[in-house]
Amino acid sequence: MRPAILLFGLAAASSGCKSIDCGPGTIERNGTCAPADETTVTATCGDGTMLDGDRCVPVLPPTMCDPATTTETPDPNNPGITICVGTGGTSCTGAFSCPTPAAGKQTICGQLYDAETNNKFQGAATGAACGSGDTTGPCALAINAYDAIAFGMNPTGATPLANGGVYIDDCGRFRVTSVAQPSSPYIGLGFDDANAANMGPNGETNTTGVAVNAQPDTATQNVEAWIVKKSTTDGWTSSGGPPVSGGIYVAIYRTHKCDATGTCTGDAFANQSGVTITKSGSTLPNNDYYFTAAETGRTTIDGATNATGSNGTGLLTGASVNDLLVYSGTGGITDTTNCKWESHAAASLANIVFFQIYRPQNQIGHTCNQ
Amino acid sequence: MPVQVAPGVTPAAGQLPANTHFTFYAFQEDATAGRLFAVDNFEVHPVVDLGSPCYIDVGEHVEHPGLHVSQYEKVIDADVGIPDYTMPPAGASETDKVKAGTAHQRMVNINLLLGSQGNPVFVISSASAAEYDPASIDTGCTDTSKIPAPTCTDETSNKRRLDMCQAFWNAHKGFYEGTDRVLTSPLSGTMAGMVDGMNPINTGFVGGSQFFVDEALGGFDGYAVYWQFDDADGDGQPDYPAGFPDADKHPAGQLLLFGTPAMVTRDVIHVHMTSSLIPGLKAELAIFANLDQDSTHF
Repeated sequence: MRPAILLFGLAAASSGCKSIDCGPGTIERNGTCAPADETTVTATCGDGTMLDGDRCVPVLPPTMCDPATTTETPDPNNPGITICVGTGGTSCTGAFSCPTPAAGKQTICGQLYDAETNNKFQGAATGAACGSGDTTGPCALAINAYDAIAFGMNPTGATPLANGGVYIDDCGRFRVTSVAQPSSPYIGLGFDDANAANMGPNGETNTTGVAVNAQPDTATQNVEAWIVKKSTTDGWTSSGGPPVSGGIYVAIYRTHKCDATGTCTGDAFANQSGVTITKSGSTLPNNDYYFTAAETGRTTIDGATNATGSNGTGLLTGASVNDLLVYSGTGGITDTTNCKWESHAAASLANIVFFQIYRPQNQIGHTCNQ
Repeated sequence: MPVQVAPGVTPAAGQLPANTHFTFYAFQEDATAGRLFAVDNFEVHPVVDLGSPCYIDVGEHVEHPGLHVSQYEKVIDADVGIPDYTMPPAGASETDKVKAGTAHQRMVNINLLLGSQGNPVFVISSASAAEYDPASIDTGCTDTSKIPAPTCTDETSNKRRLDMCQAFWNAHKGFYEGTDRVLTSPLSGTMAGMVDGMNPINTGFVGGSQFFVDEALGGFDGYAVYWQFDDADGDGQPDYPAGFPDADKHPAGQLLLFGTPAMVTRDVIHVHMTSSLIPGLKAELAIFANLDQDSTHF
């Protein structure tokens, strides 16, 4: 559940000449003294607890984590418990800290994947924080946050959003802390080699990007991001796909619907075959490309197919962010009465590979359970 | 903030059943007892509910009073003879093109409000134990004793839907039924404000709510918000669902937020409320305990 702030203002109307003073155990309601609606006995609270409303709560203050080495995070197995998660040194299977951002900001956390293999993009996989100067694996990368729409309109002129720092570990997990909110509803994350000499197609990855909804005061977790090696995009081109020089938009269609809390109707990573990319409801046969049907990675384009295969992935060229939320898909929905594909903005930007996940969503007035 | 789902919908993690409400309490304790004083009830809903049989257009200014909003684009498209606003037929007037395009955009906006791109809008509304009886909703368009199905768009069905919905609302004054036309003026019930967030249509900030109450709220030891099941059957007991743990059955319900007063400045009591139930959930409460005192400044 997304924590939120509920702002109250309560105004209690009372007489200018106060005529009554209600005693303990009563409240003044509209000029008369009324008894309590519920009463509890403090003696019911055991050792180490105290009365809080109608129940006993621990006397000790809430969990306090050492801010220098840990962050407070809800226990993934019991969200009612706050645990202290180290900011480095844990294994790749442990919880990854994604703390609450500074007021009005947004922290974005996620995992890097290799687009070719679909495996997590990892280095030594010890959970250690990346140092500076690494040239291989996730530790060779840099991450910048942008106003996604502004970046899509002018990638070379967009200014990165201010943030509280970028953390990457050798498991390929990343955290961009306290990102300032953009004027558009979307934040784009750009990934590339930190070494300026390797930016662009060279080094560990082409320049890649993903977008998330802008949500102030929120820690956005489990964001999927990808790296794409030059050898991978070269392979796409040589098998009939587009060159990265013109920009490639990668649409990944997932089988199951997920809600805003991340709860899905099935395996969140299950890919959907049989989907064709659409723009305003029309297919784009001159601009879309799909992989060989049985391929679960992303290596070889099959020029003869016009829909996603096992990897649920299509490539698109010529997409413009100016078209706004008109890109979607057709096919692959088993319950078209209740479900349809999400619509998103798209952009094919020169020398950038941009990824977007599409999931089923409710048809208007219906509930999708796919 | 936990949000109540529509009737008949199984709540997901972080959501509450439809037949629940929130209560704001003032809390007082001494050496022997703690006491809760109920101040006001409220509910938290998505701003509109396309699944509601009475999410309809109302008023003299609407094209089809009583039309279920889910059918709006379809009906307007039929009115103007433009089945697809992206491909208007030759000869279609500009006015009709605008109507078709506007109808489509309205449906897009409704889905945005419901969170199609994230950031759904939630309202804090008046509370009611009433729900539309599923048995009172027709699956077709012919049973004149029932609310017509949303897909019934003929004027007779619209009229019947309008009449029956308004009768239900009049009988249950606190029942919330929102509309996308004016977010702050629901079709039924009252709106106290919105949960902090963003309007996904224009990315503007929304949030904050206010209640005017009869209780004198100064001098209490704490303030709390609980959620509890409704008492729709009027037996004086919350309508706990089957299997609800006995250990969790409390007269006040489940404690959601609690805070103690601080920073009493110019008669304004400030309370920072936190939740032991949901880490990260918090609320800021400002109580204007003596609005008629000249010592209060804004």
